[in-house]
Amino acid sequence: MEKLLSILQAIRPDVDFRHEKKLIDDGILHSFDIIAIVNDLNDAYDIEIDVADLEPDNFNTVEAIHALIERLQNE
Amino acid sequence: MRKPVVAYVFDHAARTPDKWAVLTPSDRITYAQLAAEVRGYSAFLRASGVKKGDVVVVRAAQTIEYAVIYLAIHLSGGVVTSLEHTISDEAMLQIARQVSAGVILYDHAPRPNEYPALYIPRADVRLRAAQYAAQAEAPAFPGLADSADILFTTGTTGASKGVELSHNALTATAENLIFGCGYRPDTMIIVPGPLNHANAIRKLFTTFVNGSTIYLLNGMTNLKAFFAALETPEGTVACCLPPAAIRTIFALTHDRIARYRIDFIESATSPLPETDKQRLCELLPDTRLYNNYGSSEAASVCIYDYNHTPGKAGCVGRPMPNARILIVDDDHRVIDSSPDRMGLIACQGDVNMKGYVNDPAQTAEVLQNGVVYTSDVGFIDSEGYVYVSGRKGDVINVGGLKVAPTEVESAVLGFEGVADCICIPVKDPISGQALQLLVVMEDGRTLDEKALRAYLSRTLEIHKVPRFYRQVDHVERTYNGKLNRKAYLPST
Repeated sequence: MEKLLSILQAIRPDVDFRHEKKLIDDGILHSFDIIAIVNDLNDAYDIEIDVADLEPDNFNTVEAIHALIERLQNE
Repeated sequence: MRKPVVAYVFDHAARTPDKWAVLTPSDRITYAQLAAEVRGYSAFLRASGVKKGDVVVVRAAQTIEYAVIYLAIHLSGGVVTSLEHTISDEAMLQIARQVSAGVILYDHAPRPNEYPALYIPRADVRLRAAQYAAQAEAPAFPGLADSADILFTTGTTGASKGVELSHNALTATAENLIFGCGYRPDTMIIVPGPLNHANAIRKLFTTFVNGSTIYLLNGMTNLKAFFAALETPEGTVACCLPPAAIRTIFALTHDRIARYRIDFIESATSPLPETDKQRLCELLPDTRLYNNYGSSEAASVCIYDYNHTPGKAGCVGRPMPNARILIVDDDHRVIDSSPDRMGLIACQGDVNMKGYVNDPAQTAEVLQNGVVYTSDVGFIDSEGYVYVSGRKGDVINVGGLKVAPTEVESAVLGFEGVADCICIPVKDPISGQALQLLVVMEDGRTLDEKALRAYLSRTLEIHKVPRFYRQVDHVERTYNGKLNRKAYLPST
């Protein structure tokens, strides 16, 4: 989780990723942030985030992003 | 005969009651249902004190509820001021004061202020519409000359200004787009942009004038929903995608969009980077790809299909039926323009704004005798195509000769191996300013300055050939993909 938080914090240092629960629904993350996050996660965790995964539920919280990474690593 | 947008909704409700008017990933509404809800909600607004001519300030949303609210304000004789959905109550109040609002429509409990405030949770909008439907009178539509919307510019030229548009301007803009993009009766246009932005709200009312279908998406953070929308079998698919959305699609899904059949894609007023244009043309050879030129003040005036009219760098197309383009000098006198004699672009026609709300001084600077004067520099060619070479402030003066950096950049992008570039001014002891070119090469390539210079000498007039060259890793672009020229302005 700490590794993920440091990746997210590097992209958007102004966002409190530990506590925000609606990163997408509240418009905190924009589409260009998602591009940066997806690219960095693909590299850092050796995964391939697919179109089917590009929905708000997977990016609204740091826990959801973490769960997405774990699922893709286990596939 | 031309009518206000809301009157078309009632026409379509009578003629094609079961046709889908608005779709979202989780909801849909037919024209008959939409007209009924608009009538009901309008009755609620009037019962709540909204009068003809009242400016109603409201947060926009990508929902059917918002479409109902927008049309119901029109039917009540009110003027819609749509704001970003994330705007704070305080900023909303400030704008309400700027536009002398009659009412603020809140979607959560407000703190008291000097304005009558209506608080209706969004989930209750349609319920309220149904409750008031019984007491709704026969619709009395607003006059074409009445004000319909106040749009807030994003403030590229400083303070944000409220652009006041009549019902006539809205319908004239819709007619332009229906003609220009070739809307069909069964067009289903996918719109991810926020409905407080000029380009997105135009797609909403263009759909209603045309009697077709709009599919609203909440931005491009949910690409799964975007691709699901492309597969929705409710008509001929079209998209309204601003440059940032196209960049997002490419960055996250690579060439996936090539799998879909899309009748046309219309992009917003800011031009697409050439590389993105070329990629779209290659991926969607049969799709009409439109660049739509206009502004908040003079909406959707020219249209250009860059997929099927290639080879015209800087071209924004021909004017659409309800707009006329003039090229003028600095004193607003009309000139006969050419590539060698550029001027400022001015727009005449029913699409023009009424003015900036409560700001006669700013209005007088931009709008004179019904003509909107822009800061865009360009010309019209012998076939009637309009070209935009940049903003007035962007032109680089090289020893008295004016150079549009966009013309240089377009030429450079035609040189083999160049991935991106920007042409910027640098101080020069002889000419005052000289041109410097920053070039991004494709992976593994090195800039051959001599060869590029020779190529440009064959392509451009000599004073437009940059004197200095530098290979860089990237060039600065703004969030929506436009070259960030300000980042390269020489420090004083």
